[in-house]
Amino acid sequence: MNTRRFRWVIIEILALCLIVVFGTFFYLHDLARVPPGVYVDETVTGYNAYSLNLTRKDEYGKSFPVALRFFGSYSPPVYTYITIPLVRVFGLNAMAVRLASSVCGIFGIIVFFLLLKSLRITRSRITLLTTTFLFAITPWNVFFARTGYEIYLGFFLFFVGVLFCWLSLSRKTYLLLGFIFLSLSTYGAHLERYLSVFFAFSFLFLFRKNLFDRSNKIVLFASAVAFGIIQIPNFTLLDTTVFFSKSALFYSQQVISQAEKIRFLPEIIAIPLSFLREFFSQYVAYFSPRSLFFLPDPDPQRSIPDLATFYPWMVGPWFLGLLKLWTLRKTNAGRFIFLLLFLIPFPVALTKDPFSTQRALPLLLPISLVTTLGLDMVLQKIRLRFAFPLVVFLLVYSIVLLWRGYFVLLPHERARVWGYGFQQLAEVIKENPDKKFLIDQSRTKPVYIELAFFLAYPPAEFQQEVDQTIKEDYYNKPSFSSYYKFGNIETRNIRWDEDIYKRQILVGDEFAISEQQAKEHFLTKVLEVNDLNGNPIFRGYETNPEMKCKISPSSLCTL
Amino acid sequence: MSFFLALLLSPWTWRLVFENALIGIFVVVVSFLFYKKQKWLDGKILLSLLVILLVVQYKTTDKQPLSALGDSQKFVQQQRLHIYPPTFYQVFGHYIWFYPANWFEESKFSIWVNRIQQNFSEVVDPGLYFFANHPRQRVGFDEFEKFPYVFLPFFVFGILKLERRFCWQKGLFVLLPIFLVSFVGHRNQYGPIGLFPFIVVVCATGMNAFVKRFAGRQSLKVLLLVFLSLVFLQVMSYEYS
Repeated sequence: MNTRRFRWVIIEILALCLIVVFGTFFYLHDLARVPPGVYVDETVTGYNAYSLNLTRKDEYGKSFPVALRFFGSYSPPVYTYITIPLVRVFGLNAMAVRLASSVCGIFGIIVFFLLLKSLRITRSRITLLTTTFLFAITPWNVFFARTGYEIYLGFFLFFVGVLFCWLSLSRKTYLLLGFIFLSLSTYGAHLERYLSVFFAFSFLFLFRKNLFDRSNKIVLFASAVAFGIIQIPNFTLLDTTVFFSKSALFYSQQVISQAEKIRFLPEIIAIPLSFLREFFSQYVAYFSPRSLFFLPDPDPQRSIPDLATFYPWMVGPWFLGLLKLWTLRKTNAGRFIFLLLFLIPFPVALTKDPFSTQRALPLLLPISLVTTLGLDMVLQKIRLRFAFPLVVFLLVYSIVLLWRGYFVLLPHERARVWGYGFQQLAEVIKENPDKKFLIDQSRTKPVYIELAFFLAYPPAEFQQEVDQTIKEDYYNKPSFSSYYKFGNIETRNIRWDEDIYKRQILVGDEFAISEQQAKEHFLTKVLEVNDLNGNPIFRGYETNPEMKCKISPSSLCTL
Repeated sequence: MSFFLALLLSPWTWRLVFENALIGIFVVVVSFLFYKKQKWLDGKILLSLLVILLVVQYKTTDKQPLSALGDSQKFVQQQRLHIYPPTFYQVFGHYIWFYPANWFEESKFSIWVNRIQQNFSEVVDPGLYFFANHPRQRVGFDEFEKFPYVFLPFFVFGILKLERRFCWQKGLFVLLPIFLVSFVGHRNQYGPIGLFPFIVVVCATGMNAFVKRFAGRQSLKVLLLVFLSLVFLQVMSYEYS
């Protein structure tokens, strides 16, 4: 290695360390406070980790399940199991639940750098480091690297598997590692259960000429066996409802209703055509510049205000990158990126949510690679002395947008959807152990788990208070009821004809109990929890059954 | 043949012709001339026709000032002005204050940039042309079917074929309408008609290249024609249901 090259390698390593430090800051800064509150998917993960830590059983009393019955979704379990030691060390709080994702995010930067370097698709010297930095601060990446549930871990394991698969084209033994990580990723998140299998087969098929030769027989065999062995726990669930828990996300109703509009054609033709359009529209949405660079995810819990998955200026490199990718289509790197780009949205496009950033997270990887190609086209055409200030400007501009969207706007505008207020409500409940609380469940995500999390409700007691039939047939009970009764808490919709005749505190959002209802039923306001803008999230009213019975007697008054 | 297929199987053509025959026929003629560039047709004439088309686009658009905010946007703006933390730096004992809330939320420049970005994002979205913006329809817009969704692969193929023999007219036929719509917005009952010739020509180019690739296989061509007709019926049913 000559001196110049050696110097450049040292610069690259130092720059990568600096990027990792920046990434660590973005993924860990104020992690417990931003996003504000703790979302139900995080609390269910945290509480189950807490429960497994203390009792070796989940919230339903099932010992170390292969898939966790979170609200009937049967989530892959690895994230929860990784969270167990974190909850033990840091306690049951937002930081402990989110930390594993953030650590994956930090390592993800290094994995991206290694993949990009080994793909050898960049020509400009500064592209590699610029796009690695950009990957680290991409809104899509930062957002999910700071959420405390399984999505990012699944992506990370898949990502490492993808890296090793790519490396196996030059050194065959890496295929074994690639398949081990791909197989592990099926326990990471829902999408990877299907995606990793599709990817493994497609990769083998696409690169069969590179991989299938006599000298490689043992590695191929070992990889297939390793993949299969890791899948054994999943195989034990094949006769259960676990793998179909997300089937409700398929747009069968839309397909039928659209097919009914095609009056000239028989059903046998109308339904496939209707499906084709629905699938195609969903699929194309994942490549749409509007969705990728300008519009946030339609679900406010899964987006940063005023920021899409990538920065708006990246639309230019995206278009250029696509053209460049076409010219690389006959190279291994080009085919590999094409495979990732077109395969990942396939299972996602079968679900009805328009542009689900959560489900499509693995798409972050190929789109980052394509924008890298585009940015490289620009940077290699301009001199380093002009390219450097341009890159610095774009990175600083991106950081400013991220700071504004994520650290300033999100805590104020998305507090409610992230479950802000439950901690304060739990404190009130804790301070009043002798009072009964009825929490209205009509417009909110499952409340019980938020309160169990913030109260650190003893898991052994909780397991006794839930439906005992669930653990008997754990993997075949996907239907979820939001009715829970534990400690001094009951969660369900308010029943106005009976709840006002019992002494308790009725709690709901600002629409649950109107001033008129409070007056009519002699309710006294005893608590109010506000968001960061001062708008009410919860209001609590104490009932007055004596007065109510006096004014409008009911059969319940005698009880 | 491909050009006429691309033209006739597009609900957008029929909508334009039925809603305003003059505009419809003009757009069709411009598209045809753009596709079948003859020797007698100088590039400048083609460009003049494009300019007329853009004037039509401009005149038929319900223009919104770039800095105008709706009631809900004003409410959000007012809320946001209060949530930025005070930002200042101390240099040699002097405080230097920054006003990010005003820069991001109140300055005309940032409002313009946001509006232009929004308009641009809508005009370059393939969903607008091939899926009536499904599944991310816009609130307050009459989203209508423009081209059958099966034309999208032809469009992509056409773009890739076009790139090899890229010429300045084609560049202008795509860039000028995008530029115009980014500034004047989308409130136009005919849609972004400035882009109509470009899209039709690119789809036709893609279709042509596809058909050439399967030149000897007549049955495949018939199958394609039947499929395109079925999809045309499907899309027209959605449009007029």
